Amino acid sequence: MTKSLLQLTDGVIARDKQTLISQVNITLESGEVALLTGPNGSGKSTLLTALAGEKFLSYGTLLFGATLREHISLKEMARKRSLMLQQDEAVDQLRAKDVLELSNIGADRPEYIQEFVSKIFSATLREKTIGTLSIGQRTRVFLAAAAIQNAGIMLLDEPTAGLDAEGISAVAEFLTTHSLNGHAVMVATHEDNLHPIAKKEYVISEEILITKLLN
Amino acid sequence: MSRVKPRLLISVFTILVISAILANLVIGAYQLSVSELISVLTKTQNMNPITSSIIFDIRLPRLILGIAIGVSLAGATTLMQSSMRNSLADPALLGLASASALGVVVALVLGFDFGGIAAFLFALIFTVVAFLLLMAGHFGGKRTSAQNTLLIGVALGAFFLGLLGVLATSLDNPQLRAMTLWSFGSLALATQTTSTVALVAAFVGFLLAWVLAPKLDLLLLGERMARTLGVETRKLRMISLLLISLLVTAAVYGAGVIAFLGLFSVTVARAMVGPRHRLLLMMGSLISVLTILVCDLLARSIAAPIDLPIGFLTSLIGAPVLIAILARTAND
Repeated sequence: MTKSLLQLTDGVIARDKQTLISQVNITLESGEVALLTGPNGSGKSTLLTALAGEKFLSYGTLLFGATLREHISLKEMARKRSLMLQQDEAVDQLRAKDVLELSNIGADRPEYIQEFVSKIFSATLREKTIGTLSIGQRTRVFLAAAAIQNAGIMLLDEPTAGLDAEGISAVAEFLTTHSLNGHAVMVATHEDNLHPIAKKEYVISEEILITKLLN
Repeated sequence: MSRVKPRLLISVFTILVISAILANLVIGAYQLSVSELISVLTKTQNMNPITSSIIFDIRLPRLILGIAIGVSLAGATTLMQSSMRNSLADPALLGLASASALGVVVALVLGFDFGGIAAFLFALIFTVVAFLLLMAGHFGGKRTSAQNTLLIGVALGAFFLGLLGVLATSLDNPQLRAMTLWSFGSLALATQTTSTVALVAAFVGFLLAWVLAPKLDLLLLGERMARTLGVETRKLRMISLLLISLLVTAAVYGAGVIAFLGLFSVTVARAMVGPRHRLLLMMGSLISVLTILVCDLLARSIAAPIDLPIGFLTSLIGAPVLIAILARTAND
């Protein structure tokens, strides 16, 4: 049986007092991978951030399970959802292994997460500083960081950016397994390489959010 | 830049600091041997009262004040840089040290003693207020850039220094003389009271910063990610603000504004051990204490018997080293 892990009703997403998207209705259920698409600058990252319970929601009701976001502490939130953004602001001198270490909030991690992390976060990455990474390497580091939180809801911004074919299939496999373990995943992307594993697609079109069911 | 093992670096610098401590106690206008020093400190023999007075009334307070300043400037700078996300932040550069100094002068004008607890409290309050003004400028504007904040800080600092100058002219002569020496940054006015108060404040501040370090580390991932991982970043910033103010006050109240030392030591430390806070606090403090002790030794020996303000020397030594390191890291 599926259950709703995250629900946003009648949401309005705004940034710097300007409305970006309205009529936002999203339900993320366990076992589900959903896509979020839309043109550049349409507010995909902003919407993901809002879904994570962080700012930008100027109107609407955001529920995690049956609980309102306002009634959940930041600490509890860290266990409920992970958020990976393209424009992270990590300090350049941090090493990749520091990022992984710092993202470890002490969550239990099933085997498949460990496997995915060792696949995507190779030993050669560990000592590299963030400032020296390529786009693909950066994706690997921050994806691994989001994965080890083992959160019920993963909100990912372009999780295949710069990845090679092998990396992309590892991500697809991991996200499928994670969702089948009772979790939900939402992926903002402008590529179609994760289409095959998704059940739903949310499309931002002319400042409105449209829901499409995929096969 | 490849990094040498932090443990090795910390051991080497600890040994250097201990050597500098010994040198500062032994060397001076009145030379002591190490055995004399030991017998005075352990009180095993009948002490020569002059030797004992030189150690306990002059050199130890000066040494302790130097250590307190080194630790607090390194701690304050580390915290400022991470909570403002700006690796150019420095208490002297951003006007906080001037605010602290102004607080001391206001206390003096109101008739409190130099080096007393009242002076410390005035300095602390002025620093907190200056910091709040700086943060209002930092977060008040829409998307304030790091450069803007620096400029606001520099402007605030200039304003406080102006006020300080105006107020200082209303002081009596001997006080004014002490003030002049002090405002250039000098350990010459160290007493048992100032050194004890500064050391306690520095120690408390450092300890709290140590406790806060794991959360500050998360801030290195960026504000958003830190919050996502459960850190109340606003609360963390407010606590940092109070801690920074305490540490800046500890550094300024006994010895005035020693420019540059914080920025110098934290920048060098970061190039050596990276940005994680516990290592950075430890390494930054060791470098800062070592620098201040070596500079103080030079300050009272190169032009003896004249006691040069130490702020001159820290700038002379710190600036070239900092520029060299910045040039090297920029090439990475």
